[in-house]
Amino acid sequence: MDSADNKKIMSPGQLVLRRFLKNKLAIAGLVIICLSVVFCIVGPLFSPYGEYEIFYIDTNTGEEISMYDTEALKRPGVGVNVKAPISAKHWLGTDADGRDVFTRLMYGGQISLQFGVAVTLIELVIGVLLGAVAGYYGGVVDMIIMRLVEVFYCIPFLPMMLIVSAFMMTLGVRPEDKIYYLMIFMGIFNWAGVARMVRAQMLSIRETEYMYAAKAAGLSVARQIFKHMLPNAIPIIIVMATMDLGGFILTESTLTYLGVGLAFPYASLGNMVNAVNKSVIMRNYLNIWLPPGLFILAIVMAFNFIGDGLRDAFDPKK
Amino acid sequence: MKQYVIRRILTSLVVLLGVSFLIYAMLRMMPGDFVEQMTSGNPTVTAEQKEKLRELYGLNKGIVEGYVQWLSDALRGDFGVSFTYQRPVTEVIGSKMWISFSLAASAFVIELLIAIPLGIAAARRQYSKRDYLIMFLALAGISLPSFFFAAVLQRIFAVGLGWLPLSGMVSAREDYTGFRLVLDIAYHFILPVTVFVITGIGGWLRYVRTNMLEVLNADYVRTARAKGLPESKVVGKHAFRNTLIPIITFIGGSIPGLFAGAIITEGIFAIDGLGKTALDAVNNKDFPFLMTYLMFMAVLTLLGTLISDILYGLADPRVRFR
Amino acid sequence: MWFKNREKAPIAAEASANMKDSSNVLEIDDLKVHFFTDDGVVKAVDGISLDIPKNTTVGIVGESGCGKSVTSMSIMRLLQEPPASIVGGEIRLNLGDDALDLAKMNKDSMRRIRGKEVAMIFQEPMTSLNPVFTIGEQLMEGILVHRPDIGNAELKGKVIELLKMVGISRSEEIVKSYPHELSGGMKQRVVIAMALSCEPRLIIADEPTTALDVTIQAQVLELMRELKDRIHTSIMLITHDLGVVAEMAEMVVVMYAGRIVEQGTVYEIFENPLHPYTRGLMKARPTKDNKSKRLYSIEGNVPSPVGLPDYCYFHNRCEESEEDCKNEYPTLVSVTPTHKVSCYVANKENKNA
Repeated sequence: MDSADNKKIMSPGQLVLRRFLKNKLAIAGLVIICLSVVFCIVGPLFSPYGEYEIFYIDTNTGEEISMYDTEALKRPGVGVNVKAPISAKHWLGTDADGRDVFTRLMYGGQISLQFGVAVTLIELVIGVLLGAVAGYYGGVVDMIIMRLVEVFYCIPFLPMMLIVSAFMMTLGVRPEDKIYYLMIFMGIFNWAGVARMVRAQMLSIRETEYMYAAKAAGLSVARQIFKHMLPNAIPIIIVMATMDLGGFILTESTLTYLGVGLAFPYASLGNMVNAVNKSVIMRNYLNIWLPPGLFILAIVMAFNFIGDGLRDAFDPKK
Repeated sequence: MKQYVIRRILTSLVVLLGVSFLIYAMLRMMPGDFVEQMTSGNPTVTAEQKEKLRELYGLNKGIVEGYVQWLSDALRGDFGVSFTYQRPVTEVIGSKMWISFSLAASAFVIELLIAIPLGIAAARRQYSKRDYLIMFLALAGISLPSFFFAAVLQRIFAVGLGWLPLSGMVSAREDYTGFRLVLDIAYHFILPVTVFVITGIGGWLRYVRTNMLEVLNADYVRTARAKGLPESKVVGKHAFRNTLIPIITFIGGSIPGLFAGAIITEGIFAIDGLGKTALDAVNNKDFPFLMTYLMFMAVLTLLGTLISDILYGLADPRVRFR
Repeated sequence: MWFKNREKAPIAAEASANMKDSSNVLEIDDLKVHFFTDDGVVKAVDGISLDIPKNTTVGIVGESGCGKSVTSMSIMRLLQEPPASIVGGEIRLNLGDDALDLAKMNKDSMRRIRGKEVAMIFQEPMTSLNPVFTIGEQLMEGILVHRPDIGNAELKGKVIELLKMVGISRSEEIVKSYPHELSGGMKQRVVIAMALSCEPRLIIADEPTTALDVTIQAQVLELMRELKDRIHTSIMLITHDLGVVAEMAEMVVVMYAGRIVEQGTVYEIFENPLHPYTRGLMKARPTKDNKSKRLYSIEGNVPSPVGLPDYCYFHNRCEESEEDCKNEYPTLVSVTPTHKVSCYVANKENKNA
């Protein structure tokens, strides 16, 4: 065996991947997210029930009737099958409106995940762009952008979202549109952290020899930034994005729980937990509010595990 | 140092100006007649008051003009009168913030008492089972939705076991005074404080652990070991004193935030602090209160960063100003 | 509990040892230090043996990654275990009446050796001192831990004396200052004072002058040489700078990829280097004779420490290699009572001579 042959040369990417895969918590997080995505995106295809399908029950026969079965609904003694217990037909029972909890869990998770991803993307677009510009140009541009960062950093996020959200309802924004407004506002209130981070990276890269070389070679500003500087900031951006993703899902569910976030027609996990405010449900119907709460916890925790694992894996010190 | 502080305060004021304009503009840019919308659910507001309100907030003027008016009033200390409380907003905030503070501060102390030793313990054996367990708990706590966790605690300890009160700050129908009152409040604080501690401790654990890890790898820690110092002294004195700098800085920076109030937890446990008041204000569309509340929060944030920067200068001999 | 110290055990019976030669202060015998990593076992130090006689400076030379720092850290037992582990060999320390095998010491009793019997001077004076404690505090604590019964006045006097010894004149002032207020050279003097504080039998100096300016380097080396004779200690000088070795050391050990390839007196190594690697190092040195030529450099790099070949590790970089060199790893062969080399080519030449 020759020593030159067995020298394993790994690219930085491979090294990061290997360190990441060694982190058990991070792997657990990845598995949870994959399972959640499958559950929320693929799950509804297999669920026999719809998101808003309400179930009725014939008190005389005990037979369950779907809301679509208009004929059967006309029979006497038919009432909404509310708070049904866990059964083979309803794996987590039905909620206070007679809807299948398990099915709604899928749709709720779907919205939460989509929402989180969308807000993160908005946050990144604004934050990376402004951060890169501030870091690249420095001087007055940097000063102005950094003051702006500080301004946005100071705005209390949750109260502001609460107010924006609540006012949107009074102002008659259609619930279908509200989700988009919420995404945009949440993105706008959160880009400051990303911008600050990206700027710091840019500043340190700007003074390196290879950037002098790039500048001397006459590369365009956009090319300098996107081709030569930003890639260096990508690890930090990825870590931030992952952790923020979890945070946004948490905030969305909090707003929804408070009744000012996503509302009908969307099934939302926060909304499902909200049922706990009725003391009867809190006491006797754990199947209605416990699963969505645990689901939020699992998703957010998974993103945090992944983010933490990535941060460790990217850390060149080890 | 003095110059530095003055310069920092001046930039903070500029930032505050930006924040206030942004908040004002945001609230104003919402379409429709604000006062009408907000007072519609509140029969105590008369037509005269509405007109005065429009004038007060410059709603009959453009955004910039209106803002200038709001600002000049605010600079004179006039932040308006709360719709709900019919008292000056500053007075309402001044009284409610102490309730929020007492709740948040007790949780804060407990968090530190747990997070510092546990964070150090995790760092001392990086990648051990102990480290994994502590970091798992830290991340789980951060990820826990407070409204859900609060409900779980209420279900178990108040509804299920009946050991603790479901919500509120004092027992109804009992007119406790003095020490008994304090005990009663403490009894009611147990669940909300638990929510604070569990959901808030993760950040501290991570912070302490990261800083400790950095310090434990420092050359001077190796020097200390090479001198033959016992491990307890290496960690407890050499490493800890160096992590103490960022920790104290962070603690100092966090103290203003303790006055901010926690919307969710206070709301769920019906603790009559600033957070719950803000939640009510959102529902009642108490515009003067909300505007001032948001400004108050912004000031707290700025104060926090300012304090931590100054503390950093004081605590570290390398940057100590003479 | 988290914070409870491990059981305080006395110096274990199995740690006692017998010196081969009582005039040595330290004897390393077939020491093997391995790192167990994900990539496999890294044999950072793989069976080295060397003696450090009393009141002698032994220079350890080699490229970075050759295992010289690992050797010193295993003497101090400061390696992080795991991933590092001393898998074999002895490190015998002569304590006068008896001797100890440091390789077998437990952590608690090792503490009593560090600083007291064996002290260390690190490479980076800038970061070796704790920024939040005064110089005086850091010096005192090192003395106090080994002499808990020392009086306050004596302790203070000792610290002042130490600082004077390392050539710091304003010692009363320096005692009260923080590390960042001192220059690099001053800091290294303080670090040296710290190492001297308990008059150790052996001082390990790991690249003590690398981080310093050239003029300061000379001063610090001069100081170390002077102090060595004053307190009758031995110095294990780790460096990649042959100039420093020539100036300071009486004995030289050349390491390559975790093994010793050649050792001898400083005269033998510089006048008659036998191993091709040592010769390469000599040639790579700038001298006034070869002004015009490009500086020589040894082709290639130190081999990856994972999965080393079973023949001579230097083979693929060696300019003099022959058929024999593909045989098993060459043993160290004595050329003179003090001069040893591990190389087929060198041995052949020697026999012919």
